[in-house]
Amino acid sequence: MLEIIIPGLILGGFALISASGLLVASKKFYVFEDPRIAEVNEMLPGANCGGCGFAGCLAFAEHLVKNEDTDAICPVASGEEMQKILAFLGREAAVGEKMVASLMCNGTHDNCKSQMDYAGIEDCWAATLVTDSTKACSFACIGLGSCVKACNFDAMHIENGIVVIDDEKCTGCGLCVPACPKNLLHMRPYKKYITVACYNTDRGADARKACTVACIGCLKCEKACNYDAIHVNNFLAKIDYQKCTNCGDCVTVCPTNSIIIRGQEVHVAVENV
Amino acid sequence: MLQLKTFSRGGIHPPEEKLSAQSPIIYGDIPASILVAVDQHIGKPCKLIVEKGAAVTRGQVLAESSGFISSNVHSPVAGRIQKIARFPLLGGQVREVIQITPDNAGENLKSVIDNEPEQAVEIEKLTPDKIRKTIADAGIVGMGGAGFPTHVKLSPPDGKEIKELIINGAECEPYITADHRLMLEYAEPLVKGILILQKLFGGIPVYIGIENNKPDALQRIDEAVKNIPNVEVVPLKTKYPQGGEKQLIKAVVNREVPSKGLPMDVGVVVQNVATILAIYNAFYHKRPLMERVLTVSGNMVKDPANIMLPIGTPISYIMEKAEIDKENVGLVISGGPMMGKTSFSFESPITKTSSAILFFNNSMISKREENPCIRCGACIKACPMGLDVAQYTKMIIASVISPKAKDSILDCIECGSCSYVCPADRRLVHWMRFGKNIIRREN
Repeated sequence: MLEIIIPGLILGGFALISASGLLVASKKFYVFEDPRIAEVNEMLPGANCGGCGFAGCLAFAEHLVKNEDTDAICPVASGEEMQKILAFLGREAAVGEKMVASLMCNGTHDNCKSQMDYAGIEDCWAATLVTDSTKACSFACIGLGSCVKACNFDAMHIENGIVVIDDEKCTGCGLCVPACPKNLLHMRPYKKYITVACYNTDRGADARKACTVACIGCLKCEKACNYDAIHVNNFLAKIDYQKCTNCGDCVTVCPTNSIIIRGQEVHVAVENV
Repeated sequence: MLQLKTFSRGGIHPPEEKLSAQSPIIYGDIPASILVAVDQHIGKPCKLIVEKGAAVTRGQVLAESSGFISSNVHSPVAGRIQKIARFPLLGGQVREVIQITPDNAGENLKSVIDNEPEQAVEIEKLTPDKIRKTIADAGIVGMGGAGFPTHVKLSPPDGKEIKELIINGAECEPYITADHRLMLEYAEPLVKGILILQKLFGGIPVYIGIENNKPDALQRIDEAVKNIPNVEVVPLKTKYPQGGEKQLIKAVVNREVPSKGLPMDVGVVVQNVATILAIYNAFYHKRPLMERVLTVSGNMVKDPANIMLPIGTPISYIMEKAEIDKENVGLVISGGPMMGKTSFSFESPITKTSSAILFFNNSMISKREENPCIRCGACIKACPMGLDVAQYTKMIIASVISPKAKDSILDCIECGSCSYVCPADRRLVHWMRFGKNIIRREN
């Protein structure tokens, strides 16, 4: 019996000493942490994507609580969620609308012919080390998926040589934007469906030779737009989303179909017009 | 037996394939259309100073250097500017190109060059500043392949003393023989060019490094420099990459360039023989860099040759002259097979740095896929920079590069020895280049 009791007492004694040591340490070295940090962290989407510019959701929550920064926005959280967090902290802030990434290229294998058999590393940046583009157009999406690797939300997939973005899954965190060596990913408002799917600034004839759906800078869209929302600069059309109303006039007049409509709902919207 | 000089670590010996070593340099004709790339050097891009439709003369500056590390580009022909547009270059990069229609298309380059006779130059009266300015104005860049502006290399910052000048005649890449033929046929002009550089640095010793697989060139240069003090020919062991700047310095003067350092950190300047010839032309013919000798070789070429062509000649012109069947060409390499760049357009023009154009059929393209590393260590043994390539590649694949490895990866000279020896067909150089790209993007 004794051989059980003695070890039990010894171990119990150790446990008691350690526990009292921990108790003393926790009192002596106590650091106050704002309990709101944990609560804000709970309210955040918890994607840990880094789209806000901080190391993760917890770091962002800490920043929100400690600083009166009204510009800091979680790109993943919806407008209401963000407003809820700021209201919880007793602040008001203008929260922008949801943004999504949009590819400025439609150079699928059918539209833009591949001009070489690339057998190197499967990464867009690695490909740019040996050639400007594997396709006939030097501005085109390389389609080796550097942006897909950067996306934490499964919103990007390579289909037929270009990346296709799922607007519903895209949270607008913007991590894919610097991941593209061709600078083809731009943010646009979720509710503005019309995009110029081309980034080619070559002269019209050269651009058309490279890709069947290239923007040739013909200025037809600029003339067709009633809202002064589309402008051609350097042989390339660019939409001002502040002014665009989704009317779709530019889409109808574009002779090369380089202005396209993204998403499902849009087809209905255009028919209504 | 006498041990030949070489670098200490790594190195390989690929088949030499110097098919055109015995073909004397021939002069090409002026093609019907010249495409001069605006940027042909490393450094700041040039500023275009001509417009479409303008008439240009031979030797006129088309694009001006825009800073210290930059270089002029000259028109190699008299003619009219047809177009200024973006165009694929030999390295696969699409860049601005000036298209010129020459007035004297079809004329042989030899007769053009013969119209510009050699003028006497009093080397003793040249000041260092005058020498540097003439070289900068002539748009001379390193013609071995890198394209670094030569006048920058020749202007060491204060506190850095140049003690030796090394002339790179190693030509270690397979197939290329352009420098070999230059040394055989232009030995005297080369010596005159060397003397100008020797004067610039105040009579320092000059070593001309030549691999011993070119005994005729060794002998020819040796004869040419016999009576000149302080100029010496150094026979080197045939080993790739003997012509790498850092390897050559190690072989010739037995000094090691520190990590991230430049040759001038160990008191050495290295110049390629083709660059020396360009310097000679700039002084003795008042001719900027407008032509270069390149090797046309590969298994699609019936008669491999060394040919002098105006810079800007499209390779389609070379293919037509060499009767190369466009349909069967599977691979076009600008430069040597180890470090050269593959091209995808038959219209791409040659640039200041094109030392060779190689045409191969599909049989030369490896169809083998990349396999997992078997940890044999062959790449580490072959690396002339002593890098642990296998380990770094794994870090790059995992995108977790340790700070220490970053410095080493940036030291890679991209010679391709590791890829050449890898039994698992791993794209080791490509991974290393990709690693450099990742590191540069992070900074």
